[in-house]
Amino acid sequence: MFRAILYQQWKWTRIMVGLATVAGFAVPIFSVRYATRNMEHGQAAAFLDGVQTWGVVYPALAGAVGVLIAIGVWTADHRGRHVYALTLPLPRWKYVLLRFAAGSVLVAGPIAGVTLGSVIAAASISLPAGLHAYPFALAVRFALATLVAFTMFFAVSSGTARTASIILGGLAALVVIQVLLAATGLETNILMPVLNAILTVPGPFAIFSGRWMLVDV
Amino acid sequence: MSDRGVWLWAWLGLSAGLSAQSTAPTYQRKADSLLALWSDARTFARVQLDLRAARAQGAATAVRSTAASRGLDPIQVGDLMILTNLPKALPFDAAARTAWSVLRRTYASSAPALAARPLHLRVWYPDRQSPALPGARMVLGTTSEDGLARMLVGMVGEPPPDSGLKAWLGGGVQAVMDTVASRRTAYVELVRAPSLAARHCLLGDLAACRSALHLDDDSALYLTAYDAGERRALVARVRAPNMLTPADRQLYGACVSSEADSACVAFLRSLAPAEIPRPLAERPLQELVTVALEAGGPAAYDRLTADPRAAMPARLAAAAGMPVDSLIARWRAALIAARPAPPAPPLGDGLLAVAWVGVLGLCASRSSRWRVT
Repeated sequence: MFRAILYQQWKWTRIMVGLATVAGFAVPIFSVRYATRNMEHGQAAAFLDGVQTWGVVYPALAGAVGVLIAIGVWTADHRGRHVYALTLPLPRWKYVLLRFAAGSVLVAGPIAGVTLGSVIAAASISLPAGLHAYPFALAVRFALATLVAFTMFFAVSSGTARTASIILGGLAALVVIQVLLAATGLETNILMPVLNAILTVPGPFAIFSGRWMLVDV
Repeated sequence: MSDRGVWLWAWLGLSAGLSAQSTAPTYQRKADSLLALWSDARTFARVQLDLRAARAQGAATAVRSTAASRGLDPIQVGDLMILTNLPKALPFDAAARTAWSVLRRTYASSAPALAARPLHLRVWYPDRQSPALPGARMVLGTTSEDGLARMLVGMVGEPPPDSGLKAWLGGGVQAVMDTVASRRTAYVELVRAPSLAARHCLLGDLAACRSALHLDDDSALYLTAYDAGERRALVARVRAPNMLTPADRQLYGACVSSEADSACVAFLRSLAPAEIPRPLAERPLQELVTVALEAGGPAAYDRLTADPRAAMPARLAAAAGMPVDSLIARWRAALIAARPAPPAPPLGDGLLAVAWVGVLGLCASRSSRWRVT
């Protein structure tokens, strides 16, 4: 059953997974493209700035991969109003687990792309004193961030449209209230505590904050 | 007397001297007279500054002595006094203790004079009114103890640097609240510095550290601290092409475009020493002073500022109570120890992410979509 679900999900998301894997492989290599084999110390600052600029691409890619694959694996069920799933002799939790496991396998593609790209990028450059390459640290961070994003949006997509609209509506309401508060001249900030709660430890997206550096001091 | 006054006297003297068109002994007399005038002007300026300081000190003493009787409930730690509209609203006592300890540790006997003037702070809240305190600095009612201590240290400021310190350090000695963060910044600057000397320093060459820190009056800094590529980058940085004189343009072009190192050297030699960028920015230099003050103990700052005419290595050695090379070795070790952690997610963050995957996965499996009622 797992193989059948995996095959189905692969068919639905293969273009997305393929593009994300290529992007994941290319980004680390592209980020060090200006590095020469024997980089001079004087170039360290400019090189680090370049790598840092590319650092924002990894969490964006991790988030995008997580969201798109999570939505992709449930699209057919939503379209078919879950009739196919209901005909299977399976409890819901087991069906969800199979979908989740198959989705996780698909997520592994872009993760492998980033890992391989980072290792090749790190091996292709000779760093000046004080700089170090961290390909595996970057790959681990990317893997965890992608999995968290995938699971979060998998959970949202697996629910009813009502659940999704409550979550998204709640977020939109916060933004609207914040805009209204600012318009009335009040300095109260309700959005920032929410964002802090989500993006800092122990929030779900804490793994997204931090240094996404292939090369660092 | 202000600097402008001194220059006015100097100009008048010079004009008089030039208009006389006299012989050499006359020039000598005029020069001596000008020197005497300049010396007098300096003395007057010093007296005026001392008088101003004494007046400020008197005013500060009056504020201090009358604060309690005016019902201001002053908070006093050491020589640091805080006057605020809401003394219980924030951890003023604890913050003042931290701030005073940092100031005392850094500035030794200069700290009491720095803190002579009471600090006026008005606590405010965005959503309610708080009592006014004229001339006070605003502080948010939610400020943390650490933030408050930093604010107090910043308000007290630093002693005015003598000319030697100012020329080398670019300003006064800064009191450091968080030495680990400060050293981390200094380490990153050392790694990023576009200088051969900085690179060798990082690899353990203490003579290179000395050169990178620009401790000695090195008239050929561009030769000792930079390699050919870095010199070329320096030339491109110190002068924009549209600011070049016709004479410089040829050298500039040969250096930047044709990559001729001899042209770069000639161009840099033509510049004033102060125009040539230092290998290291301010933070690593400040950190060297901080390490010297730490090593030297309670009166280290007094020893650092005791002889403003001495060379910087001698002053730092006196402050630290050790040879300057040992101090540089200690500085380098402190910076290396403060190297930022690798960017790998900490184990806790990794476990947290896995836990969130579990929780969210459980939420997905417990969805109400198929629940039969």
